[in-house]
Amino acid sequence: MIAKEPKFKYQEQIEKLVALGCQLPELFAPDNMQAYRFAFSESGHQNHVPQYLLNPKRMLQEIDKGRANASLLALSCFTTSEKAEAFYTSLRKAFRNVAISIGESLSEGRLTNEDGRKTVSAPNGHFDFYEYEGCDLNKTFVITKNLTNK
Amino acid sequence: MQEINGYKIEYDFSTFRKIADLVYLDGPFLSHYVSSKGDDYLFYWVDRDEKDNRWLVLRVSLPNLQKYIGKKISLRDLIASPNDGFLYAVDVDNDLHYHDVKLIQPTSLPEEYLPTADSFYDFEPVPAEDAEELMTYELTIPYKERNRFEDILHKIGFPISALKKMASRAAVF
Repeated sequence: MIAKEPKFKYQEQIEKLVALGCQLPELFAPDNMQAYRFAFSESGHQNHVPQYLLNPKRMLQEIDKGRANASLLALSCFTTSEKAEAFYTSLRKAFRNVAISIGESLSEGRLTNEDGRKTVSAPNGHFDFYEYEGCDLNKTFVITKNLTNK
Repeated sequence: MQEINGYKIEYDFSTFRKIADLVYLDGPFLSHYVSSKGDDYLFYWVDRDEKDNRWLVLRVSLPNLQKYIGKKISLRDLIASPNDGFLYAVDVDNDLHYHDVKLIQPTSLPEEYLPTADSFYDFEPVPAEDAEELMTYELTIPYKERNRFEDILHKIGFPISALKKMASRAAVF
């Protein structure tokens, strides 16, 4: 019996982007890797939601006017805490209010093959993670460090 | 969001076309656009509240943008010295409607809206899909080298007259 390919959490939105000419990047199983994400420590704040689904979304143009980027429906992650912190430091120098947009804390957790699929990791440690239906990183990722107390 | 002192105007950014996202994490933070007149602009994210994201928009020169990407000048250098002597501040809502456009002088910007002095480029640009069609190249030949440059073009069979037809802008120093 062939196992059915799991649906992505935002399958409907991804299919709309595909209809606009977007292609999903090549994706890989995360194999229980440890991953790091920026997050808000305040309990009332939404964490682990793709930017495209936040309100107000941080975009400048409709997706059908420019490159339809499936990354809008993925979650940015980093492979190590050091690389995540280095990236955040660079962001904070350029964008003094960046904590308002992406959070002031580092969170970490393990990504299983049932959670979703990842893109290849960039040299700076960044990769995109596309969640499967049923994945909720709020249950598995924990806040470990405040990145703005420097 | 921070209160900003500027002169309220109407301005249509809808004809601007994206060249690249220079800083991107789940969405753009700093983007390079070109206007319908071929001028280069940066859209620089600075703030948000529950309804809007706020951006500063400034005209830049390609050489200065190249210096920033090449880590020779900081982002603060770019933002604090826009080509026009002023920037636009614009709020963009969740439906991507641009509103409350203000003309603002760099000296009136709150400190939180300025990068740090050591904000050198440490990212990877993400070109727009049609960036190649929109990309312009600026070549500046010092006047004293002009004859030598024309000789080189002549030797490779590319006369200066053809170059002048192709170039939309030329700077002579």
